[in-house]
Amino acid sequence: MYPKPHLLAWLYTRSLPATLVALPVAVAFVLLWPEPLGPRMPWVWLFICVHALAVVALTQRTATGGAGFLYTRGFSRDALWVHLLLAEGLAVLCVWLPAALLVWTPVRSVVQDRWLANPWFPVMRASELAVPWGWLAGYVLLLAVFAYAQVRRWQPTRERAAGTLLAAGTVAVGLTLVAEGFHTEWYGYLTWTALAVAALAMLVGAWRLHRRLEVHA
Amino acid sequence: MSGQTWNSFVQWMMPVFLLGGPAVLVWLTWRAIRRRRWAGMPGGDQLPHTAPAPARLARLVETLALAALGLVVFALIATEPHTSGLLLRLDELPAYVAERQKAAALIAGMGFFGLLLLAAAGRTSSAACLLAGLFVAYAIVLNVTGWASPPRSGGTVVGPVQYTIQLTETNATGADLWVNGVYLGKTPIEMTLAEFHQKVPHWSDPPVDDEPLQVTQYRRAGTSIREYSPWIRFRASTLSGGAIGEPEAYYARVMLGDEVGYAGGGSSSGSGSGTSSGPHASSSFDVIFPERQRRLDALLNQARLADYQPTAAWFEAMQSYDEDGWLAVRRAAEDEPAMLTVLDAWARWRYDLDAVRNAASAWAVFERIGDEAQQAQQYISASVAGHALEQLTPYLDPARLAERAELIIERTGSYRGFTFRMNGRDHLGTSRRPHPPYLGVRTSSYYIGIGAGNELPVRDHVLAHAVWQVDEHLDQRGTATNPLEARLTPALIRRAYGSQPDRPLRMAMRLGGPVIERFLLRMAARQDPPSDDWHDQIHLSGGAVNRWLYLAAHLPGPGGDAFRHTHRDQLFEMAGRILVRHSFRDDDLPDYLFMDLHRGASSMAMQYWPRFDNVADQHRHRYDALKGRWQYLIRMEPASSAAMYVDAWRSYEQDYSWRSEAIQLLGALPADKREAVAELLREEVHRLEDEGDRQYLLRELETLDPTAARQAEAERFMAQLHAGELTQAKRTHLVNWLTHEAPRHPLVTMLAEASDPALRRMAVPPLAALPTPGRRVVLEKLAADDDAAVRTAARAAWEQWADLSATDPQTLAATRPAANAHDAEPSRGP
Repeated sequence: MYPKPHLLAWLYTRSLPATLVALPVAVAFVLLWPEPLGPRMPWVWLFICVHALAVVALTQRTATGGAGFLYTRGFSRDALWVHLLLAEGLAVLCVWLPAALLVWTPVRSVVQDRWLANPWFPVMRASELAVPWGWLAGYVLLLAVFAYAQVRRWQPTRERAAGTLLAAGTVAVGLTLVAEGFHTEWYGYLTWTALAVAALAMLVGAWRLHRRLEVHA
Repeated sequence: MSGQTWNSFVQWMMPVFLLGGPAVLVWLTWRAIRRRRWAGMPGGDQLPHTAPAPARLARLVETLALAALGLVVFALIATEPHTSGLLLRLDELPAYVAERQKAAALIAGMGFFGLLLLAAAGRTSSAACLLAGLFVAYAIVLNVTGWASPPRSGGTVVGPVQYTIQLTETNATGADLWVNGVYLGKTPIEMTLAEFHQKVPHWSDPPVDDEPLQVTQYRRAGTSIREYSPWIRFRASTLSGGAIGEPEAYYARVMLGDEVGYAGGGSSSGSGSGTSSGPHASSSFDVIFPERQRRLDALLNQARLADYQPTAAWFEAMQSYDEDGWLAVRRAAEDEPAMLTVLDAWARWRYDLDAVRNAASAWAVFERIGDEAQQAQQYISASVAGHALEQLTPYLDPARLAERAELIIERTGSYRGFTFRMNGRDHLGTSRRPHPPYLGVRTSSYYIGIGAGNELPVRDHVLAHAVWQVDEHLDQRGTATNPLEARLTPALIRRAYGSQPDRPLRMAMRLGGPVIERFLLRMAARQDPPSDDWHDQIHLSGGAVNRWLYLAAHLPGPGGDAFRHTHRDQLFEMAGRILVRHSFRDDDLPDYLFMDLHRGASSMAMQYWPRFDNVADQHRHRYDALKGRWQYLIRMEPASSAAMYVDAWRSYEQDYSWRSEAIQLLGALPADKREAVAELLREEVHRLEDEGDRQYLLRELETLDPTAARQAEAERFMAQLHAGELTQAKRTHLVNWLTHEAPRHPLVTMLAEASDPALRRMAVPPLAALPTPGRRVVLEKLAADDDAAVRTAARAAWEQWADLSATDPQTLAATRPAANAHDAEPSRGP
């Protein structure tokens, strides 16, 4: 299965509105936010949550926007699924990567230090370097969970809301962790491992269930 | 079913009700939503009941996801101590609390597993809802009901009261202890209070003190006999109806090996409800072992006789005294600095420091000291290990230290330890043992919570000590690059963010460098005027002040100096706010007032003095105000003048007896200033009308310079001796006093150099008591004296020294174990 650029481009454009809104917000936030960035910033996580939800909802919508037509064009379900994931990943990268580069290059630090005379910079730059990786991990988890919820919702079986409930549960657990933090090192490892297992299971589940998706053209 | 069984049944069923109730409630709500098929709700899936069940894959995925999410929440609730999740601290809890924690976790865990089975059966929605309810209930049980929490306060004790008995005034451990005639084991004793009262009978009358140790004490004023009782009275808390009651008297006897311990005088007892470890009580009492002390003194004299370079056998014998060994050397060094060379040699011997030639070998010793400290759960910078570490300082690689310290700063959330002064310098230490060491000096304990992270392990106190020493070493060398400053100050500033910032920032200020200077100066500039946010405020005795202004005002170096100069008015205003409730009893003046004394008359302290004087004038306790003024002037040295001290003195015209305490403060002044102030004060005192007050204060002023006072005293004694004013009895007493209490008194040398052979003869016993190299030379001269009596006495003393030198140090080791401790049980007494 080779990548089909036109299909990818078409799927990517479906989430373009979300990207066009999220990108300037993310860049402005990263450049101008005066407090050092950390792993437990509720507004950042809310933004990631809403952005990931918007990307999945826009990219994977099946009832409108020609999706039904797409499913009749002879692409295998697996090819469509891979391209859906790639398109969602690309949409996330378009927002995450510029924000991360502003953190990793000294741009944010220089803006805060030289222009805004923020005393915490450049000292705090070192503590911010790992933060974008946490954001990316959050995106991966949420994309997997929301993708599964979306696919599960359109299965012709009972308990269709299970995926949505699990997604809501994941967001609730995430917000709890943002509020509480990791009280010990081992708990941090446990949490990341458990969430990685959950994300992987849902990603695989969504891929396999996507083959039985009911599309309303 | 009996009442007790029923109660037990209810206690065990409590978590089932508490955990199950909310879970069922959430599930019923979910069922109601599904039945109503509300549009837009997740339950309203609009599929007929005949729709196929979820695919096996979906069930598997959802079960896995639910298990992962549930595990994260379960672990958080069960192990987060701030919300009473104490599953990982069961060994610190009273047994009944530990049982309840386990029961709650077991029931929640079983419920969790059951709901996973439900999810695997295709009912994920119900399982997820019930699981949410279960976890809410689990959190409520632990955090809200207090059912599985340790008791916090209050008189009634639910669990057993842990009780400890320890000895103070000595660091001897493993001494056999009997209380009211009952053998309890080796110290320190740990048992429950109930067990103590069950084993130990209460005596209504104290035992007859049949065999006290009588010790002759030779004071300057006269001789007295002090009795030390082998019966050591102490107080232990009682138990009444399960609650800790008033303490009552008990009588202990202590034996260390075959040596009897005697009551040292002090004792204390205490009790508390505890926060996490449950209720506890403790008793401690001073015990002295005169024979052990005599052996230790003999070992010190052996070191003197060996010109402070003792043998390996000596070090081994000293090590048997544990903390008491190095403490004895440190205490001797207070009056005899050469004793510190013994500590040097000891450290070299113990850690093979002569083999340290480079950074790698120094690091290996550093690691060894850290390992030993961790194993012993104790580290004290004044110990032999700490002294060895300080000798490693020139060899330790600062970059490697900085790398390790940076990691530790990032992960450490709290620090616990103590500081103290010994041999004229600051020391640090930490002890995680149940009973911290007895150092015999005033220690300041601290616990600093910064934020998330672990408590600094004992091993890393060694690292902190090394960082402190190496940084000072680099500062003294004036190296252009200091990796400790370059790496650790940013790390400390990062640690300060979002937590209690004072301690990390003060540590960074102690290290110094441009990074912390720039940071604080910018923060101070930003916070003008200060916000009300806690992060921008620091609470001092006088109230809240701008944290950043306060910290920046304490910056060392030229940047800080310029800041203080520029913001002088603001800093004076802040000083006024700090001092508004100044007690004038403690030396808690703002340090920044005294950081530019090189400016002389234009220094901040000098400029602020009139305002401080005015504040002191209004203080209601005039004596405290005098002390406060003098403390201020002493800190302002050398800018303050002698006349300023006298002006402060004049402002106090009340009870003269209080003035003598204030006079002692002047002992901290440099000798020339002290004499100038004393001279002016004498003039003031001479103007007093009351003869008694006048004489009393003049005597106090004389004691200001102990060295001069002792010299004058020696000259007076010599004059009396030459004039024949002292009887033979008084002469004998003088010799005994010098020998036992004041062998370093200048009178000893004067006597040795006297022309009268009778006086030279008097010098021999005090000289023999302290065989330092210098005094050995004096005694050697007396051994060749023209007078036969002097010669004979000196040679006898010399022979005693020779015998001591030849003594195997192992025979002077700490303990001589008894054959059978129980056989040596002391009698109860009538």
